[in-house]
Amino acid sequence: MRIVVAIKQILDPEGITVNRRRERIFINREERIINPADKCALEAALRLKDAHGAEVIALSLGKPAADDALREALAMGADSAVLISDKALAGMDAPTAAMVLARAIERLAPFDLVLAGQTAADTGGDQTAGRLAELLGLPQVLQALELSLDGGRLQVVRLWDGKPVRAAVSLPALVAVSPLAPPARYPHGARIMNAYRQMQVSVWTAQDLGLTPEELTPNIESRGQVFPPERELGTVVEGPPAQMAGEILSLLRMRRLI
Amino acid sequence: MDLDFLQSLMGGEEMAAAETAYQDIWVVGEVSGEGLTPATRALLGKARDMANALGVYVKGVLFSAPESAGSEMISYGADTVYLLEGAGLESFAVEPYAEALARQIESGRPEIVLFNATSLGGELAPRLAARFRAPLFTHCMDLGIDEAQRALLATVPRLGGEYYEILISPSLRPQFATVEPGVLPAPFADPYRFGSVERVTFDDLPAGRVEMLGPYAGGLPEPPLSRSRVIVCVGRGVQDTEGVELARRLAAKLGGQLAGTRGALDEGWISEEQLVGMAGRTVRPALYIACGVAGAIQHMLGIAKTECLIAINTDPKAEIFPYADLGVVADAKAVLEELNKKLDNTPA
Ligand SMILES: Cc1cc2nc3c(=O)[nH]c(=O)nc-3n(C[C@H](O)[C@H](O)[C@H](O)COP(=O)(O)OP(=O)(O)OC[C@H]3O[C@@H](n4cnc5c(N)ncnc54)[C@H](O)[C@@H]3O)c2cc1C
Ligand SMILES: Nc1ncnc2c1ncn2[C@@H]1O[C@H](COP(=O)(O)O)[C@@H](O)[C@H]1O
Repeated sequence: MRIVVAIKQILDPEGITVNRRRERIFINREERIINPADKCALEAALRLKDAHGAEVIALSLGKPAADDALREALAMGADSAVLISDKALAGMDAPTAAMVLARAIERLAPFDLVLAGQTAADTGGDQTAGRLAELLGLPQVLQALELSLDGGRLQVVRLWDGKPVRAAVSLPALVAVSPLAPPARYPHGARIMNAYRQMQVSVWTAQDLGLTPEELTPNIESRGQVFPPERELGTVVEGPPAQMAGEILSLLRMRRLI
Repeated sequence: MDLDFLQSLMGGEEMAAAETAYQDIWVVGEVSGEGLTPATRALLGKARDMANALGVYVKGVLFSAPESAGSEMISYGADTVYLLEGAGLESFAVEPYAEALARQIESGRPEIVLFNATSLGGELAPRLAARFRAPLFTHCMDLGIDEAQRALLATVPRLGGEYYEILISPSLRPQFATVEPGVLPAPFADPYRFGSVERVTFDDLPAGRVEMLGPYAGGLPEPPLSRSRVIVCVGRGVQDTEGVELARRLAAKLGGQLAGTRGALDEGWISEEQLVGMAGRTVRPALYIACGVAGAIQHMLGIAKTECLIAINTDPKAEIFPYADLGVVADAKAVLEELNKKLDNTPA
């Protein structure tokens, strides 16, 4: 079985603070990490590999620095890695990124399973997986928590409007793994050294994928940022327990938390 | 008849453009139980406002829905409603649904197609957007129209909602968007609004390759605390293991997890993994209910990114109150007991 896992490298959101009053975004600590959901996707791939044997290929589209993300994937247990990196690809919008990734995945054919994260924690795009499925002509299962292989069919536990449900799909298929899925294993020390010293990350350019400049022209523009108001000071209330419980529940309803 | 003179009067180009132009705003709705979901109603209200600004129609789309749901869409602002039906559309399956909607969009050529950011919208919108090589704005918190460019202005969350970005795609059509349920105001229904409900039947849709097998009853792996959406935290003020148990039950009912302070750890009520704060986990839940928690700075550092903080503490001067969205001066155990009771009595 061949599994392609799409991995995005992002700036660690924990290192970023948003000052709403000053309407500014500060990067305190410029650390690049594998997008959390993608780590879960990689873990899902490695579990299938452990159970049934599989070749796991990590694929990333990004700056040369994304090499680190792919080395981490190799250290975790991926068998090979491909980085699509090219100056011509800077400033891409979501539709274009999905198109480029789809082109690369086609080049990696034949494959049985394509895994992606459900959503990237920086842009919150939440659309690349579905786009890939459409562009590759694959059936899709999104918001996956657990994957298992049963005969030739993939059994998936997924969230549907917040509730776990079961789905089954024949391969090849695309599955988007939720950031709530089991977190990734830690790479073995020796594998980390190996990933840097001995394993290769193939680098593909726009030209390798036959992409034309017209295809890469962005069509989405930003009209600026909006900052939500500073958190207002809350209220403090006092009273008998039953009434206090009522206050809490009405706040939860108002904020749509229940 | 020679219409050349008419064409030149009206501007030939404009007429040619009008033939191929994308226009109207479509709302792909959802039905639950008795009628439209509240998010669908709100989306129709928003679509109506934007359609008025553009001078176009609002058209609703529903899958295998009763006529009454179509009429309800009209009362909330739709001019026309398409009820899509046929083999493959009886219950959700992404491939036949996407195919039916794509064909409808191909023939109707809407300039904007709106979905709720629910599982249905999340499945369909990216596939449709990819098929039409179109932009898709997801989890929008607001929508507007740039009238000069005749384009959608989408306010999308960044960094999980810490700030928003306004996005526009001036030239590509159709434009797709999913809107976060619950952010748009509820509109008024006008039962006398006039419109038409049309049934559209498809008889050659592809079979879905994904089988939906119903609810999953097994246990799920607990997500790490750092990704939990709801956390109920116990501090020394919950008094005893009975208080901790009440907190654990509340957490389970809210679909969340139990956590605790150093005080609770010292009492042996929680494990090391459940400690929140400087020496423990950093969390960013949508809801954090702190029960009998003092609010020491070392603890608060771990919950700085909580969206909604509720604190229950007997001391009106407790350090935690100034940080809380709602501070409750009361006995934590007693309030926890009442919360559990009230949640048992409300139907899910
Ligand atoms: C270097 C360092 C690192 C630390 N790291 C952490 C950390 O990571 N996480 C952490 O939590 N702490 C940490 N601490 C400890 C921290 O300073 C506090 O001591 C601790 O958070 C207090 O826990 P508590 O709120 O449960 O207990 P307490 O301070 O004992 O507070 C109990 C609270 O419960 C209230 N109360 C009493 N009875 C009731 C009742 N019946 N109903 C409701 N409320 C009641 C009281 O008014 C009081 O506010 C750290 C300390 C140091 C020095
Ligand atoms: N530049 C990229 N490189 C590799 N994978 C990506 C990239 N962008 C998005 N993805 C994949 O698509 C998923 C969803 O991304 P998004 O739609 O941007 O939220 C991510 O979790 C990744 O698995």
